[in-house]
Amino acid sequence: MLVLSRKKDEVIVIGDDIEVTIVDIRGDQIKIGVSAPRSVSIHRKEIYDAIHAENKAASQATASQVGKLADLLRQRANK
Amino acid sequence: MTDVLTIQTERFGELNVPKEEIIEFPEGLLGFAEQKNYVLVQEAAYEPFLWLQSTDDPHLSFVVVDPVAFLPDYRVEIKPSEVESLELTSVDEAKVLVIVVVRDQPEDITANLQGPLVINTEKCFGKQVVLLTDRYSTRHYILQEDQGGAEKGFTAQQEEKAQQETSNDESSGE
Repeated sequence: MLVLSRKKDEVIVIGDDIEVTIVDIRGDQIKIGVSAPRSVSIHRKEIYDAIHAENKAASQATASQVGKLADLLRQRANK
Repeated sequence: MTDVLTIQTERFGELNVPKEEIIEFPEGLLGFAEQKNYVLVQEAAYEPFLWLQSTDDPHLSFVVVDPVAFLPDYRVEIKPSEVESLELTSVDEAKVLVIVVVRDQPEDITANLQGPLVINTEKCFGKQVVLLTDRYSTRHYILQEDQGGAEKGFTAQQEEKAQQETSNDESSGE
């Protein structure tokens, strides 16, 4: 991994069209501004990872699980 | 005449899908970047749930649901740049679905409220959007009521509002 030292308001350029700016530094929190083309998705890694994991888990559903669930909802609705 | 695509699926066998019902996710879903085309399959036995079946991969499908059925107040706020990239000009063109994880205990079903699917129904393409808010979790137990207060909801007014903002600043203001 490339490691660069930057101060507040300094910028890193990645390729031709991505810029990363150090917007603010306060204690252990750093505000980072990213400007990139729309086609580039930018996410906080922990959220990206969580959604990735949920998608994986969701793709494992079985028809019988979903059928049972739908039955349960019908029973509840009929109460 | 409509073009019909015949696809093989593990779950539903052979499906004949009119081309205009194919929904493209140009970026795929998170973790599934390669599979870009899907079709919504509705079967009475599974209602209100739908299957989002990949037309690229016979083995890949997700269970999805219209969140309004469970969370009438659920609200999706998407960034102006995403409104634009989804080519949404009005709220009526947008359909929001959430992906659910179904477990052996039906009550344990969770919905990913932080990463909903927003679909432009006119143009048949969509995107899995990552909401900037931390109000919603990726694992919301939709059938269990004791979750410490209802979460706030989706209306598309938010999208219109977002559209009116001219700024492309992605700052989430945290």
